[in-house]
Amino acid sequence: MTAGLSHLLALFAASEAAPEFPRPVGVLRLVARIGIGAMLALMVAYVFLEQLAAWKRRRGNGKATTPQG
Amino acid sequence: MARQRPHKDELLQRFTLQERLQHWVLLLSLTVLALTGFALFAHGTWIGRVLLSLEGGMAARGTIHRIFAVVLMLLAIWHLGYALFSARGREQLRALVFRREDAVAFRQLLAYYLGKRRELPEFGRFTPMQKLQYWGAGLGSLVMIATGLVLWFHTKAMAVVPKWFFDITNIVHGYEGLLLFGLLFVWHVYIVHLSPGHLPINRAFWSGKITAGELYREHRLEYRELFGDLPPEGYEE
Repeated sequence: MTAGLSHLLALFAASEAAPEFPRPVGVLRLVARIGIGAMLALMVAYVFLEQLAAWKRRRGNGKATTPQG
Repeated sequence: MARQRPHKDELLQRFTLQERLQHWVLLLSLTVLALTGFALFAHGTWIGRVLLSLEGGMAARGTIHRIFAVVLMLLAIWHLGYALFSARGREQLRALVFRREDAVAFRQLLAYYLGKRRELPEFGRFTPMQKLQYWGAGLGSLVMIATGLVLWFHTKAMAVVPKWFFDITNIVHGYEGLLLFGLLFVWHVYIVHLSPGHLPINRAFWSGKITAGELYREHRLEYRELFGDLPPEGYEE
């Protein structure tokens, strides 16, 4: 973990000296986008599951309630 | 000793005026910060250009962003003072700490959503989702304030930190802002106001009150602490 972090920091320092070499800023941006995409996917999955449960419940007894978050 | 059993429609105070005021200031500041921040974040897109023109150009956008950043910083101080130095604030903060039971309850909730469990799990004063939103928004705001200060005072910051640190700060500020927006303006708004049983609006953010029936259904452990095991009068599952 520490070695990985040191390596990443070294990459950043190297990119400063030679901007055309690796592009850790671009990599970090990509990681951030993937992370946010994953979070949004989780949120959508939660909404889908909750709506599905509510729909099934409505079919069952005409009521639909879920816990407030 | 348990209080007298309420009727299901009886309104119970859940949030104090001060807590609601903090929520309003947070809502206002984060909305303006999101709009002015996104204008810069997406300045190369049509939506970024529209926002920039609505905000009076790049310079005015920056001024508005900084004014509301100060509002957010003052709110953070206000909230920390409230949460740490008032009895009610400390009580709320303790109730917001994640516990092992939250993981169990969340698994049970997923099982309920997947049709593998018949009953909703029982939650205390705050559900695991509410705790996640509180800590996500709170810690996220602190990260935004810290990185925002580095970007605001970039000339001074560049004198003491290397450029790559500044680059990282820039990315973290932009994407953390996007994440915060997703958490609060999409997930939080959906769960509080748009989810089944709450659509079209949950008035607790305005009045600070919920009905005894809602308390029993959504925060049953807290209800039991207050009123005992019997459900509110007139309550039907």
